[in-house]
Amino acid sequence: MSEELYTRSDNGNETTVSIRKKLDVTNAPQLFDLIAELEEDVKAKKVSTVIVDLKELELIDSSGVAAIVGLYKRTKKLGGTVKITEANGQPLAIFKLLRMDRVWGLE
Amino acid sequence: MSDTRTVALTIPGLLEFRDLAMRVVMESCNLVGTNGLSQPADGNGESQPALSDTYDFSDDFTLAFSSGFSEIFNNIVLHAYDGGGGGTIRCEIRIATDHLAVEITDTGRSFDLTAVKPLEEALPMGGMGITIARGFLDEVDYESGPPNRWRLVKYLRRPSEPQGGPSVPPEASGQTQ
Repeated sequence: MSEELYTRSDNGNETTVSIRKKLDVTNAPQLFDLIAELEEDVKAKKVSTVIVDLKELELIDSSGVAAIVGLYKRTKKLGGTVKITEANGQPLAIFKLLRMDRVWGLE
Repeated sequence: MSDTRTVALTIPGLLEFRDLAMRVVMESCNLVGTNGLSQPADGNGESQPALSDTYDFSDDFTLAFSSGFSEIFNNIVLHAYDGGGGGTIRCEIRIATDHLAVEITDTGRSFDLTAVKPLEEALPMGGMGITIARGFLDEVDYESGPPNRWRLVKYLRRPSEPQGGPSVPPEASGQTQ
């Protein structure tokens, strides 16, 4: 029944985090450990670019958005590059409503 | 005889029950503008699977209403009931020919809707729930209780819009080709 909320794959200095299915108030805190881990890796210069792939994300709410914004801000603050990609369906509609699509270059 | 049909649901005020309420709202969205026996609102004859474990928003109306409803439900659990325990949430869903109205009542702590300010930064870390509900729905009203009473309304198309006008704000359409 329970599936992984996200997978992480590393390719050199580039890390891809794929978030799937649902990111909301019930499971967004699961991203906090990942965010801390990425912070450490950016600080240690093991990672310079984080790609957040939302291709398989079907549902998001304001808590899920806050978690992604947290990942984005904290990684950027340490000098990392963050790309939010492939949002579609309901998550894209939410990002557009909040006008985050413009900040992140989502279409 | 009224064309409005009513569905009522009373559930524990816990986040675990949000998806159940959301599924009922999603199915109700499909029935706006129909007699409840045949075609869904988009008229293509394909209803989303009931209570499946995927989130298949078959049209913009369903996407918008469900997303707005979900934020208000979360708000009640987290703020009125401090994250859970004790209270119930009652949803009275009125399915009309041209709109859907959901009245949600709780007996928890009251909320000051007037204190909610517009978002001031491009990437806020909080305070987005009411903005999302207001952006997707035509009416978001609140009356302090007990019981506290939320009223959410969305029209199949706004009265001022031409036939086929958007039910999701143009800037928020998440449909991709």
